[in-house]
Amino acid sequence: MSILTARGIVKRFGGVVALNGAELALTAGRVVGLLGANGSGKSTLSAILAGEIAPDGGELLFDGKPVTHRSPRAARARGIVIAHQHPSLAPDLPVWENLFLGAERRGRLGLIDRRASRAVAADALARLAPGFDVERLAGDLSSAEQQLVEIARAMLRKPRVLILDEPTASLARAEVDRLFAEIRRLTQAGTATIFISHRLAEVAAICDDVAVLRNGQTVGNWLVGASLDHARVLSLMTGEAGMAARDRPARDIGAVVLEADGLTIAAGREGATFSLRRGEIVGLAGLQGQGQEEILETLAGWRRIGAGRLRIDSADVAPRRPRDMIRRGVCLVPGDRHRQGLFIAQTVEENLDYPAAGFRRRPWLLPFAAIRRETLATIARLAIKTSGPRQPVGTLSGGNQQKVVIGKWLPMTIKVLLLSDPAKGVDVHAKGEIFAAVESLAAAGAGVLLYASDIQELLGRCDRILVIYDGAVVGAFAGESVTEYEVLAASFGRAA
Amino acid sequence: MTESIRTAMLLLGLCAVLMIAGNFVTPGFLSFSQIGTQLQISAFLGLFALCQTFVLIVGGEGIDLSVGATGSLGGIVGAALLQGHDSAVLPIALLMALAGGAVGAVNGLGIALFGVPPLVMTLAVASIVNGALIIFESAVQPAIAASPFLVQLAGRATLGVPNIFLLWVVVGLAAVWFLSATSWGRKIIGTGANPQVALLSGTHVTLVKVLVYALSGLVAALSGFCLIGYVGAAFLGLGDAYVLSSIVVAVIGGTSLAGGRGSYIGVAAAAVLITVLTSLLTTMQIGEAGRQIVFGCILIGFLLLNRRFERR
Amino acid sequence: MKAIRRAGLLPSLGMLIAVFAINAWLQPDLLTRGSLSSNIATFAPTILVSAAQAIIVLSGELDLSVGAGVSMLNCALATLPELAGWGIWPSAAATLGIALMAGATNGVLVAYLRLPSLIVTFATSAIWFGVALIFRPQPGGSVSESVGDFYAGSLGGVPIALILILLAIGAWSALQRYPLGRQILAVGSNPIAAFHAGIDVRWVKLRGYCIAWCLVYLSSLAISAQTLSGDARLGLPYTLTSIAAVVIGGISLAGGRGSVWGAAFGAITLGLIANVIYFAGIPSIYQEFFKGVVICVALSFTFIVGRRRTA
Repeated sequence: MSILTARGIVKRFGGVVALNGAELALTAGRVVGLLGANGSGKSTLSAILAGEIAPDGGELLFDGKPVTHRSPRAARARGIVIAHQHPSLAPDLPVWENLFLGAERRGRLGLIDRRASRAVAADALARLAPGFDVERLAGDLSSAEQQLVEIARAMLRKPRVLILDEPTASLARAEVDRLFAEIRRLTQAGTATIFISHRLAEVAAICDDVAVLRNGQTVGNWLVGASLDHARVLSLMTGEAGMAARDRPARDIGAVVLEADGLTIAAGREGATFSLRRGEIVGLAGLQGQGQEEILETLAGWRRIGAGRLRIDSADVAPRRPRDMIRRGVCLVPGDRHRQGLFIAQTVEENLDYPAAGFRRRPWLLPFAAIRRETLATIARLAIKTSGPRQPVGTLSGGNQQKVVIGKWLPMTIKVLLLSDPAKGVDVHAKGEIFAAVESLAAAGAGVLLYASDIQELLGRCDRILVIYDGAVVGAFAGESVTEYEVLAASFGRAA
Repeated sequence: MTESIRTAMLLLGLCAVLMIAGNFVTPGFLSFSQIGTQLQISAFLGLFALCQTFVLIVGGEGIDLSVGATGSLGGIVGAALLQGHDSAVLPIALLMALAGGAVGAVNGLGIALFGVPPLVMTLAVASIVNGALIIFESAVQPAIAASPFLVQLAGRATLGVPNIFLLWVVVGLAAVWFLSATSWGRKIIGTGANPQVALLSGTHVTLVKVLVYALSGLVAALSGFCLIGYVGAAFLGLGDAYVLSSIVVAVIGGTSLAGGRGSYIGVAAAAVLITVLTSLLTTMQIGEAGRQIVFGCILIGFLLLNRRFERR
Repeated sequence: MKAIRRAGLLPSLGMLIAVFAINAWLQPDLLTRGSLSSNIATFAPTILVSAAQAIIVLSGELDLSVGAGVSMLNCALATLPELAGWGIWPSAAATLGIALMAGATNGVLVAYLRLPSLIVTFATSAIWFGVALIFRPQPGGSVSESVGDFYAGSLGGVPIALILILLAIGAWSALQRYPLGRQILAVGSNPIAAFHAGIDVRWVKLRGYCIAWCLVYLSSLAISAQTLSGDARLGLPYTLTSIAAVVIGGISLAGGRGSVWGAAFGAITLGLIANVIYFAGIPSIYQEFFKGVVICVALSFTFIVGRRRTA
């Protein structure tokens, strides 16, 4: 009872082959987890299934008959819908209008039926997030709320095929649970679902089958039993036999380089109080959205300090803009590499040299030969997979792009390195390389403050873990010995 | 930058074709003096297009609709102060540069500090400057003649090459150097490509934008000041014709409307091309109606060709 | 009231009332029917062309050729009777056809051929101006006097000009209750989201241009009814005025946000300023300056007080 089958799908973008014979079979009433490293072709395949891109080769069978989608509208008409990884909403329209965009409910005289639309929209969102106000403009929503709207919109169509691309990236645990309940409801009604995620625990929880893509081909395809064989999945994704257990070289931990005292962006709140030493890696943990990213952004000089004090090397600082902190050796690797970390249209070299270019002693003459040497050295040091310094950074895979974001700070003096979820959306292999690079920077004497939305990334890597709740530090643990349970327990704030 | 050189080669090639065609239509089109005139006119167009180039590159839908008004400011107030003599030419030129820079800085502050869209801010400032000039003219009845030095600069030639063209070449080379080989140029390009990334990487984004618009105003004012040497006298609306044509030239020259990309080489070639095209259309004596329609169609044709190439 | 606030109309309405009050204070007989009617009749062309620009801006584009378009349509209307021997109705119909073709041309160039609207409408404005010159190399021609009389008249006590404006903008408001009306805004707000939602973005933008040019047509009718002749240069200032009106009216140039009524308020405000300057005895040379000042004041409302959403 296969609803949609993809066979031998090929897709090229210029000279890059994104899909090279990918296959996928979707059966009614089952959830397929689609796994794969960044650049493996998951998003491309989804876009093709949803009618947004046309394949260069291969065939799609819908209910057994060959089809071609000419547009998202055509795919939609067949009941194939997609909820994108990055929500695609019109910011100036209210949530309820966004839900019905392109498929407006009509009433008498062909007018839009506003009342019915609002009611249906409110109901659809209530299942995912109780008490959601559908009159709010989409542009005013947080990224988690936008994600929920994107998902609700897809589910509203009562699809035959539902594609969810990284739906849980911004969601809190309770929201994920509600989402899964809705997915199960649709599944029971006969929907075939594709669930794309890097979070293996969730894939194990919701999926009936699993398919793994690597380099544009399907390399593994099986039923999920009681649990998911992580090692098998990882080896298929990377093409290697398992990763060696993390063993950390000993690091010298030095003097205190950064002190935060009641630091907060809004006066009147408790604020964060902690210190960071040279050579130390400190992790920021806690529930999502509790202010971890804001703390890093404040330390970077990007957000204005509302109250509290900040000291670098025992000197008080009151930064007005990031440049003030960069001068003091505080460098930020921001959370959104596409929008905050890289000049997507520029080359690897131009990106790697940008911060340094702003601090040159002779700004009227850029030393091109020295810059080239520096670039090649950074590429080698961070093992950035690129065809050369002149490659446009937008064509690199996610993990390598993230390495460029880190690499651009190497020519500067780094006293404090701030990392905001550096491994988000990065495949396992590159993740390891990125954290190894961070390790080496710490070993060279930088103090590292690291926020990760996935607690697993912090455990075993950090010397200390600070649990953040509502912008304040509510728990501090030694990195070696702490368990996920302890961190989780502390995440809910101070005991009543 | 290589892309810009390629664009420039293409545009200059087209230019050569047009000049040869022009010679068939009107013998004497390719004469020495004619080419000299073309180069003079191109120089002014190229200078105003330089303003737009910087403003377009710094991004945020950058555009400067006030270059005409600022140019008129440089010409009218400059002539009023010169009173037809050379005695204080350099200080007055400096003063005009400062005035233009101040106008541009106002643009920059509105755009960078208050988030006003450049189209709107520069339009408002242009209205105010033009309005102020109208009041100035009628209230003060100022001197309007250009000084001999300016006439020499803008109207005459050295060893057969027009002086203003030589000045333009120098300025143009400085501009190319500025954008491609200095830290400042990288900051301007970075700010245009992605202001958030630039800010987080240590660029003072607001300052960069204000300075770029100030630079645009400065160049526009000085260009207007030199322009009175070419036309002989200052008058209201001196710079008006250059507003939209400077934008057209900058865009045809390969500067992206989205920002973060571009080089002056292509723009300079485009200035020459548009000048030759306009002259050719004028000599073809097809009447104003025909000229306008042909110009519009050619511009559209060019945009289509550009898009075909970009698709690659 | 919430709808007014949501559409960002408060600043433009506030400014309009303020300028109107100043005008009424300087010109005591402003509040008479005769004066109000004549003002509306004079402002109507600007209001209609600003509304047209508003629609295009809301869809995320720009049209620098509306002014030249008004000229072209005005010259067509004034010349077709003698050129083709047609009466007023066939001439009017043919002119509407020209308007739709112009709008469709812009729409195809911008939406289907994906050319940047700023430059390409600058190019088409040269073409429309050229066509206007072909119709009328020199100002002249004639529009039937009956049109002028009709325009100057009123229906049930309401000036025809006002009815025209209310019908035009009212039609747009009515369109907002239909998918196309909302899709034009969606396309301006986030064209990619609209595409993903299954909307044919190009077709929506094309229709937006055509609807807008119906208003450009009405604007040219209004101006022709007043001048009763054709002049190729007449409409040229309208382009920048329409953009100024759109800005004063609080419409975001990025698209997707704002109300066409705001552009109307903006156009009326600009018109009233000319009145204020005249009745205050300020020499008319100050007009350009004050226009700039007003735009700046409007800007400070819209941009310092308001804020832009990001998606």
